[in-house]
Amino acid sequence: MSTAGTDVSVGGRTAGGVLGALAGRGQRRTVLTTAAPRHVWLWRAAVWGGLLVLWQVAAWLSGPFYLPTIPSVLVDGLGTVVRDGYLLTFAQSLRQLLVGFVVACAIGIPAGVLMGSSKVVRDLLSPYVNTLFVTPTEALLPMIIIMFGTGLEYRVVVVVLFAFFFPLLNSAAGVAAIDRHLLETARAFCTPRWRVFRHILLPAAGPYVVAGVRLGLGMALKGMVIAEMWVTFGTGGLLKNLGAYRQLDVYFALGLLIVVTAVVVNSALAAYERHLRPWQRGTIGKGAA
Amino acid sequence: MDDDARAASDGVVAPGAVADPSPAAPGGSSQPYLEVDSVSIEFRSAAAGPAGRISVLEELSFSLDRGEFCCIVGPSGCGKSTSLRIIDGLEPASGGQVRVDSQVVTAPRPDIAFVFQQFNLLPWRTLLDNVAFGLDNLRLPRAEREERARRWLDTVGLTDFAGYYPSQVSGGMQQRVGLARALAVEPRLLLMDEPFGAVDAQTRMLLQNELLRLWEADQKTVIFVTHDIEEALFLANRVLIMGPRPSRVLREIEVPFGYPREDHIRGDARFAALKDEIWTELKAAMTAVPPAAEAER
Repeated sequence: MSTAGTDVSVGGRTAGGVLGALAGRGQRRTVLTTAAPRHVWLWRAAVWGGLLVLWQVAAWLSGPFYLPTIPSVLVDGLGTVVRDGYLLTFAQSLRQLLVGFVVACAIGIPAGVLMGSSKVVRDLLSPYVNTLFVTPTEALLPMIIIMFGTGLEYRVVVVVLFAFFFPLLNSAAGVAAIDRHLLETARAFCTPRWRVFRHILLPAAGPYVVAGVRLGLGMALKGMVIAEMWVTFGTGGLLKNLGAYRQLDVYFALGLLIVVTAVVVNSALAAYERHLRPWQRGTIGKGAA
Repeated sequence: MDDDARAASDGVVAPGAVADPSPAAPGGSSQPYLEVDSVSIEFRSAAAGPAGRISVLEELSFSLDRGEFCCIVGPSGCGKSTSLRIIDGLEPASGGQVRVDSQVVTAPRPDIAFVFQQFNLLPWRTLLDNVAFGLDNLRLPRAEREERARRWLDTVGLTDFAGYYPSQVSGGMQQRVGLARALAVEPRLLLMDEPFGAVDAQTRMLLQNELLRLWEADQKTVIFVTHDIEEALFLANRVLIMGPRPSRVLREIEVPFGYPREDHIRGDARFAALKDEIWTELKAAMTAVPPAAEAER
């Protein structure tokens, strides 16, 4: 689970900034920047631009039966999505996703914390968790339909099954990674139990948990669409029908909407993760780590 | 933890001694402030054969008066750190007991503070908040906690770094914070486990001077574990030499220098002679019995 450390750039861009900070005085936190990020954005723009050009050329060559042009997706497709009330359908799907996702976190996070802190619980649960993790969840859908029907319960259950692994595994990893020396320090200073939880467990494991929630949310979105496709309902149902009837401009517009939503939520959570670890924004190696 | 009352009822050796909260005069008639009484500890270990037990401390005994600065030296792995942990109540002894102010220590207490070799600062707290970590557990008004944390951060010379995180400052600065965190709770006994072992030699000498200056101000009782003989002689009024496992106190040495101590005593002939004497003792102990395993804890 290397999930908590997505910003790999921390190591390289610091030395000058921190030395500068040490030389200067005062308590303001130093913001460390170099030229690197500008180049990154340049490269990203080039790659994205290239891909869009490729798409447009491919669309011209193959015709709208196989691939809609970019203008048709953005104008006709998005227009239809807005006019025909597909936004509302999407919003309703998201509401069900949210229910399932909250359930997934409510199960996953406490179970993960227990697995991380107790060897007994870990030994007890990990065979099942591991088995379920490698099982293709899609393969369980017919059984879930038999058990729960095709209504709200079914869709929520699918979202839960897709989403709960990452909150669980990440919480377990976060709790297991807590430095036992810090726990001993807390004991030496007679720290009450709840303060150990608040000031050591939470800050140490919190970023892992949020990373797990972020990854779980992506999985929940997948679960939602797949569950709906199976029973031709909601947003997934729309995608299935739009594809079948070759309304590809609308199909791509709706897909774009889903992806953009996911990316925005994902980035927001990633930013929150970084916010939870202010001490990792600018570091120099500490001698005795 | 209110363990004060617990367990003190029996096992007190000295007759009729009632814990005296006021500092006893040096050389006073009452019993010692700290008594380590026949403390033994053994650990389970697969390396030690089928019985699987390694005896680390065997009948460790010594006592200190209030206000003493005691350094413990000994070969690595001899249980120096373990004995500090037992004195703090972090680890239960297999046998014997530790008494502070005639009360048996069974768990960490707020009047005993610990400075760790690896600093053990919370990475998500600023230096100021790290100093306040132990303070926050005391039932004090918020304003006083803040004031004390700032004062101790000032005392160790880090006023300008209050808002920095530990990862942003050097090891020497981190250990100053570790020291300030321990002193901020205003303990009566300060336990230091090779506190300057992880910093460079020059910083270590500076920190030694600073520690002495702080100690001379209010003369807490200090137990300072080190493997550095010179450090022990420079700081302590009493040096305990521990032997290899299963270890006990081989010898106690009264250091003939008074306080305040100046750097030049390091060059004193008596200093060199004592250093040589301790090293001879340690060397004899270390070569007499082949050291079993490494791992200190």
